[in-house]
Amino acid sequence: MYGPHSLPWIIDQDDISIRIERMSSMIAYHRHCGERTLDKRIAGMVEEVVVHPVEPMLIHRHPVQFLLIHLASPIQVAARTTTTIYGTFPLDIAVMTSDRTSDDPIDVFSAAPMKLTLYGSPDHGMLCRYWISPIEESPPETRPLQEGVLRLTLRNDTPRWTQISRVVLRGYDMKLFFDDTTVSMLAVMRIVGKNLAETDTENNPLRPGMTRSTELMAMGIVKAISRKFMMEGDL
Amino acid sequence: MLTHVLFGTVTVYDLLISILIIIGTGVLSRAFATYLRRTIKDRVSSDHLQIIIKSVYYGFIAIALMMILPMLGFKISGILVAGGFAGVVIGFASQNIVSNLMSGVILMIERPIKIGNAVAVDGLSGTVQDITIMSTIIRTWDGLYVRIPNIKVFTGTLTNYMAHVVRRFSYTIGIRYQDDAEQAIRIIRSIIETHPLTLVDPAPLVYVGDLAENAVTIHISIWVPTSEWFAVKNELLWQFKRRLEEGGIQIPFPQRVVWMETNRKEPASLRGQSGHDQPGDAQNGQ
Repeated sequence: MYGPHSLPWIIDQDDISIRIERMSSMIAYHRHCGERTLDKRIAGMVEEVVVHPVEPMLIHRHPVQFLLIHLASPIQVAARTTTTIYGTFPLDIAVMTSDRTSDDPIDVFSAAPMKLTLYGSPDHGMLCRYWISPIEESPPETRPLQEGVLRLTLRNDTPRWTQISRVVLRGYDMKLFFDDTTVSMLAVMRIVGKNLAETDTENNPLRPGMTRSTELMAMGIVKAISRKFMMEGDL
Repeated sequence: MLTHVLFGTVTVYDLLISILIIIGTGVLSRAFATYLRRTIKDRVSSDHLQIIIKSVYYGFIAIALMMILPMLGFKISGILVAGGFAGVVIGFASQNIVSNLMSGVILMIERPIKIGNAVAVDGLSGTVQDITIMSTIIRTWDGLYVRIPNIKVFTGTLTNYMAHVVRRFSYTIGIRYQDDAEQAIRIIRSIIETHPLTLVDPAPLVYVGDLAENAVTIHISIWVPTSEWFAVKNELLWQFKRRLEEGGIQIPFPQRVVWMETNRKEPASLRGQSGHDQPGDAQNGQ
């Protein structure tokens, strides 16, 4: 599904069906995903659309700026060590015009389960999209229309063992890469103190030959200012 | 040279000092205005920022004048007495205006509410449309325009429903005594867990809260994004009713078992039981 598509374009894959057809002077867009449907008319010269996996930052049109990945089982990281684990993360899917003359995509939707959570206290916490990820030693099998492969580098700079059960990533500047079978994201979590860690994403693909996705947050769909995030609550 | 008298008792020294005070006041007031602009520009609108900066600027000028005028031979004691008397009269006359003005300034700096927030002030609820120097404009839920003097906003009880990113709401749902409360809790939990806008953390609470007169009462508390709470609350309530009924669990009507005088010889099986044990019987017409 991911990549450029000439119009008219019709696809029915897994639980997603998209139909983009030319009318006399407009383009008819129809999308069905799960229980949600969108019908739209597009006025303008569109020859081609591009479908990309994008940052999972919209929940029922409610934009959030953070993704909280809850590790299915906590991981204990030894003092002053670096380790790499693999997991999964949710995806949104964006349908855009190929010439990118508009900052607004035609449609953004998600086939992955959507859930919100709060990181921090109700008065100062951050709303995050919630996702439960397994912990693997190698890239897990994923459903690329719903989830991607997360490679997480855990670096414990402290002189004590630290247990990690969640990772909070800022949506801004989240770099996603994709190919025919996989969507990937590389992230780093640097533990700098007790209940204190800095998270960041890397601008590299999981393997060579992957295509970089469009960044919706960089396009201004969801506003944010910084890429890194300091986890100051529970780890 | 410096002690040379120019006119009256004013010397060259006095004149130079006065000029220095004027220049110093100008520099100081501009520096302070720049500092204010940088520190509070994100907290107040540009209109209000200009008013505050000008007030500060003219305040500096007034202080400078009070310092300079005696040096130049003007006696300001008379002006101050007259000004003080006028101030008392004007103060009494404009007490409310000044109170509202000061409340407005403090509200703009403290910012307990922002434009667009859903608030309750002085018994009125609605959305804040504007915060001016004298009053706060609220559009009630019914779409009415209400102007509240800032003194009431400042001194009264103010509730800002949007101050935090999340909020909690609660339901109380009664089920019949013969229904399985654990099954009802499972159904309610599954609805909450599958709804995308209910929060995983803080976790929702679902529990039997009361064995009431007519029903077993289940208490439900759910955290949601503040901006979505009303829609989610309405949506979930109907889902609870529909899914509980699909699961064979009914929300009972208030009911009471009444034994008539002619039925004094009640069946032995019911003898000694409390009224709570038979609410379903009355509903089922038994």
